[in-house]
Amino acid sequence: MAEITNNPIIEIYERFKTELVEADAIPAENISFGKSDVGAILPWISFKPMTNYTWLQARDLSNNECGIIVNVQVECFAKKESVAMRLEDETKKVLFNMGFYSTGFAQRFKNNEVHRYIGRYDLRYTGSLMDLSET
Amino acid sequence: MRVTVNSLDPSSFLKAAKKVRAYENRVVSNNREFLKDLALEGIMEASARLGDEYVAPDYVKPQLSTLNPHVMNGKSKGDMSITLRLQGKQAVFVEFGAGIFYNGGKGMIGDSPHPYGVELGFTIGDYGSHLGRNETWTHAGHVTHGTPAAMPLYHAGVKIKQNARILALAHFRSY
Repeated sequence: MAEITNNPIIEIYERFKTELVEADAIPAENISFGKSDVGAILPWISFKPMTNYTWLQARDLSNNECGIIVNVQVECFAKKESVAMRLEDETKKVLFNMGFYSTGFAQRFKNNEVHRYIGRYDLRYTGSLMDLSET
Repeated sequence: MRVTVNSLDPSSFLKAAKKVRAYENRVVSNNREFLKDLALEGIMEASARLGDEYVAPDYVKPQLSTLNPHVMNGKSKGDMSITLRLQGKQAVFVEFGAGIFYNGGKGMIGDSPHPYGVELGFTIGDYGSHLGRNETWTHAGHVTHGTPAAMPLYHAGVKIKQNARILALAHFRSY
């Protein structure tokens, strides 16, 4: 960015970014820059990056428990160009994930004693992206 | 939301920042309420499937509960989860079924009426010492026929998925 630090537009954006971060309005890592078709460097402000659904890691699960974890990620980001910067909503998207997990016990007999152990568990996410701006 | 910054007015930066922060807080708050409503849909469906017609009388009905909406470690505030739990010493049996008597006969051994049963390893007649391959067996001093696969959580999940979009629109359309 050193070569464009004297660009007044950049300075405006940098200042806005600083204000946002200092006001604790948005984490710095969620503000990045891109280029517009008019050549200006634009702030890209996102409350969060949308991520692909993933497998969850093992959690502390009690024996004999089934569960559903519903996970929702909301993204609302704004992107707009102009010297006197104007930001508007651009998308409304909700990433909806749902996983099913289960733990259980099984019994095995060893030396005529019953040993319990945690059975299999698993958690699978199925995700779908809902674009709420479509309706 | 619309935020305007006037480069000639220094105070407009702070105003814009405050507006963005309020906007984000509203998104997070709406998301929390959205998750609670999703969980409620699931709880209502699961509760109905823990009735006497779904669970064998000699089985202990598990307890349904939810955890509050929470942000997973390392995630942003806009990324929240809620957990529905079915707990109890026979929770897995009630969800996946036990024994052939209630679950389709000998042809179901090694299979499952539950869509996730095979995948998760909970199949009819395969728990523990495989007593569920019989019509009846003795457990904890009494004869049991097992219990049907009531699948309260599976059906809760189906219900939640069915209603997710409608509820999402209700919570997020207007902001």
